[in-house]
Amino acid sequence: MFHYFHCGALARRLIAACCLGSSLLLGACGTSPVIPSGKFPPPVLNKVPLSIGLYMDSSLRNYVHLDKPADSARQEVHVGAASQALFSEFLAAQFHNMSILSEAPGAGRLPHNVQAILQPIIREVQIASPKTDKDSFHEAWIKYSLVLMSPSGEQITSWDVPAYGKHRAPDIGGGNASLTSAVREAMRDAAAGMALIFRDGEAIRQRVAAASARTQPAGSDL
Amino acid sequence: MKKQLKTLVIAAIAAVATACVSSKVEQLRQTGQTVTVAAGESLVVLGRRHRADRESEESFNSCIASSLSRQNLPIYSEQKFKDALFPWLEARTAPISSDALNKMLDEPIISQRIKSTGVRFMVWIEGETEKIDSGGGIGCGLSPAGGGCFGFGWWEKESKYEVTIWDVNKRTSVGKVSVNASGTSYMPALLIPIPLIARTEAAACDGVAGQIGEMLTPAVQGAPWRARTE
Repeated sequence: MFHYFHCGALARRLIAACCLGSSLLLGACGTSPVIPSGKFPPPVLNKVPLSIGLYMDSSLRNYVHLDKPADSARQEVHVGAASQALFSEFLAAQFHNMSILSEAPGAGRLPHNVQAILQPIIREVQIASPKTDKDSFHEAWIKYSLVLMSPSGEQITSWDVPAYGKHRAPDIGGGNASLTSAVREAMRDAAAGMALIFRDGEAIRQRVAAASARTQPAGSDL
Repeated sequence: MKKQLKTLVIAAIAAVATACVSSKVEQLRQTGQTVTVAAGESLVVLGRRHRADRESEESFNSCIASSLSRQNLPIYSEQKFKDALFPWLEARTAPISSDALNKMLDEPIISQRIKSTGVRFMVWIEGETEKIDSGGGIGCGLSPAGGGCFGFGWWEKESKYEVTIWDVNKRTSVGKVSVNASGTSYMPALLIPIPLIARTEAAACDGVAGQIGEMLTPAVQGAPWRARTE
């Protein structure tokens, strides 16, 4: 007696289908979380002559994106820790002086030289994995906002920092390494976006100076 | 013994058999002359990633880098170079024209960093290999007496790449190479599937690397350079 099984035209598809079946069975037991590395290369930037306070609240530091596509396993993407490292390292390289603030703007005492406060916020995270033979990439979108505040906590302005990363999925297997790489690519893209925002250091200096002039008594300098 | 020999012959045919690939390579030199890569200078092979729907494969980029290295051209690691210039070679910041390259190099902090790596030539790769058609089918069976596959499958692939070489020192384009390689792979199955693969990506890689090797020559002929990691 013969047991027949029919696949697509290619042997590679046959192998891929078998591996996909196995991974779906294993997926029922849960997939390992995606935890991108928080190590980024030192950025090449011209320092803006400003002293900045960086405030990152717990919703950013602990941000975990949970995704449950209809036809695949639940995915857990830890975005917070790596984002915290990215903003700390990038903004420390971008500004002449940067202090990490542990208390919310306006709520506590600031280091005396802080001229403005930056608060990054994660607005939204989306991920996508290849679903058909035509799809080649794992993709990640992270929508950050960067809020610029006066030392007293009043918002001066904010910038949207949309970030996108993709990484080619291997034909077979690979675990979640490709998705992890896509998330990291998105974070590197966020750094590129911030570099473009602060490329003209004079623009942010003028905004901070204007806000400072509004709040400080006449005659005092920034 | 005879059966084993037969199996060996089939396996050997399967291993060496390849389907035909037709490729067309075009080269455009800006100066019409070969440029010499001096001692201490190197090339970096970079994949373009500014388009969301396509990106050159890492395997293709590393094939180009390996081929150039075998031609005694010193190659700097792509990832190390991108990290050294972070974040100016990310998808949204990487220069896509020689004007954009000029603007980037106008920043002293960036041009100094490039100088410190020793990279003089940026080799930008854009394109990809894609399956454009496929058909046929293979059925496999298994029983206590044995098993096997019967049928015939085929698929057609096309590798299209465009490579631009920039001279960072002179801030000009050295030249462009474009390649279009296509071929159809076949997989007849009579008990065992015998793949006859059309290696379009490899053909495109050979074509491009050969043309770059004609545009750029190493100052000193010697042992192949390895990718620099520092």
